[in-house]
Amino acid sequence: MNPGLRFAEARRGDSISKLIGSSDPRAVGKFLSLNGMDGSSSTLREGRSYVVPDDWHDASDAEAVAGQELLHVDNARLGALAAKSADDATANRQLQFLRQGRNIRTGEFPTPATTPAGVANRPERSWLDNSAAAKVAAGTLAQAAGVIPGVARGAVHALEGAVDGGMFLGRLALNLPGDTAWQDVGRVGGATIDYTKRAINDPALVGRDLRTVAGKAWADQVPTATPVADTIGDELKRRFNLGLNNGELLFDGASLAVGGEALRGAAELGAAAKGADAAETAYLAARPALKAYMDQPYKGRMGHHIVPRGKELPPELGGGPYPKAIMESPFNKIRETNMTNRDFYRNHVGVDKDYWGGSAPRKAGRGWSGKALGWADYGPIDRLRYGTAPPTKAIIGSGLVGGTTNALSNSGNVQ
Amino acid sequence: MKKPEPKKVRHVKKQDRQKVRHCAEFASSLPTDLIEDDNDIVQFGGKSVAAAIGEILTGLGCDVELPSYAGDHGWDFCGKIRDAKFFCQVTFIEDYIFLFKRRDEFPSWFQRHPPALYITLDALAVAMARDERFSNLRWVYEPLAGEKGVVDPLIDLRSSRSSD
Repeated sequence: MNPGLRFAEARRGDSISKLIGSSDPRAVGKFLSLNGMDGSSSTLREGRSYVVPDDWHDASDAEAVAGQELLHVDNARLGALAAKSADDATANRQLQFLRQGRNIRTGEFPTPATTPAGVANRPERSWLDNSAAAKVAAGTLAQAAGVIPGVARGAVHALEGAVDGGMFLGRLALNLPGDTAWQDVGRVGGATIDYTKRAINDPALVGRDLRTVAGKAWADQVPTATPVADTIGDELKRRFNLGLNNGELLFDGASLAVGGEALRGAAELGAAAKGADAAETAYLAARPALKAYMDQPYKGRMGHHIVPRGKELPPELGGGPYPKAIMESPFNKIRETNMTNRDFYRNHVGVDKDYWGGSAPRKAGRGWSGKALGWADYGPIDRLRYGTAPPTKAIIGSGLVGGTTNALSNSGNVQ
Repeated sequence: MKKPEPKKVRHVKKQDRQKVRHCAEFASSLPTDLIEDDNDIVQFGGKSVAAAIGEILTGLGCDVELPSYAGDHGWDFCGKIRDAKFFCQVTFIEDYIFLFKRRDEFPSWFQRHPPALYITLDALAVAMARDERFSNLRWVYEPLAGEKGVVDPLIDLRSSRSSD
């Protein structure tokens, strides 16, 4: 007589559903109870023998519920992994487009900022389009607004450069058969020798080339190096792009001065929050389970963004959300490094006007409110101290970050 | 004598915007979608409620994205109606907290707050109040702050205009 049970040894890659041959919650629940598992984890130990049900029609309702909950947890984890993988591919593509100055969604190059002369049916002009003073005033503000995203863009480019450089050095060191890394070195060396020979024959060559490079850099950074746009809208776009370039230059200059070691060290800073006051202490003392939860390490969640998730790119860069590579970079995000739930949530409530409280596990009392804990919004100094990603703080300086994060928060929109 | 036509409102002024409650607190019969293990939250709740509100907004003529996971914030989505872009966020704690606000470009200093945004909020409040899946709906200036809340998020704006 078949007892409806069998033994199976778990091997690498096995899961409960795979051993049973079904994802029925009753089957999973019965497997859990047969093997004395509490349902908090679906991990199987490699080499261990498990009792596997072949028939689960007699599983109890409690077993079915336990099986369903475990499947929920596992499906959520698998879903998050799949979503992350898809997001990464999209983010890489968008990043390439951004680096090339293209629209991040369509891959097209932006249309020229000014309308060509002689085009018929020109749109109606506002008085602002004819006002030089308005263009200067609005353009200055737009250029300033471009600086922070520009710093983030510089950071992304620097990180890419570091990764590419590291990989290239690795290829040189390994010198694998068929790899062209050493040939690339040879080609660059050959080109350098060739250029030197031409420069000796034509001494004016170097001067001309330097002027070309300097002229391009000047036009990329200075508003007066290129003509003012025809309309105020186009002028705002032109000045915002100059702001992006200024921000990237600021990042490059500052990271040269600060150095990689200092930046890595800075990433470890900021693992703290404003201290508890009497109201918070009393509130948590009356709720020991919530206090225990608040003392746990903050892990595996989203973090806090300086440029908020809901913000959009300017239309000439494609509109829509900022690329994930910028949003999720360490320069725009405070991560959970060495922080407790309490410290992280205290900072999040302090700097984010759209965050007022959150869920907690059932055993910790289900939820908490920042107001009940006496957590007020941070002022400008605390925003800089606790609410800014440490690498960004290290690079762009306290005055700039303090002013900008405060401006963002005043717009009611820090996330 | 012909009565002059009212001046067309192109954007809502800041002093008027400050009289609008952009947040709601409510309960719901929909699944919470909260997932937790023994120690911590695995997934924050609010997905089904966010999807339901998105459906209501679609029914009101808005183009609405699917909700996406926003970690500690819960679930959020963006939408658009005519020239107004908006951002919605649903956070589940013991009840639900809902946020409806304009979606900004960065920089946002020159952006306007189109009236369509507030007309949509008004219609959404009415639709949610009639929807049996939501209960104890009250609009507040700041959630979790002990405000009693009201059923009409624009009531202070309306009363200030009627007294002008």
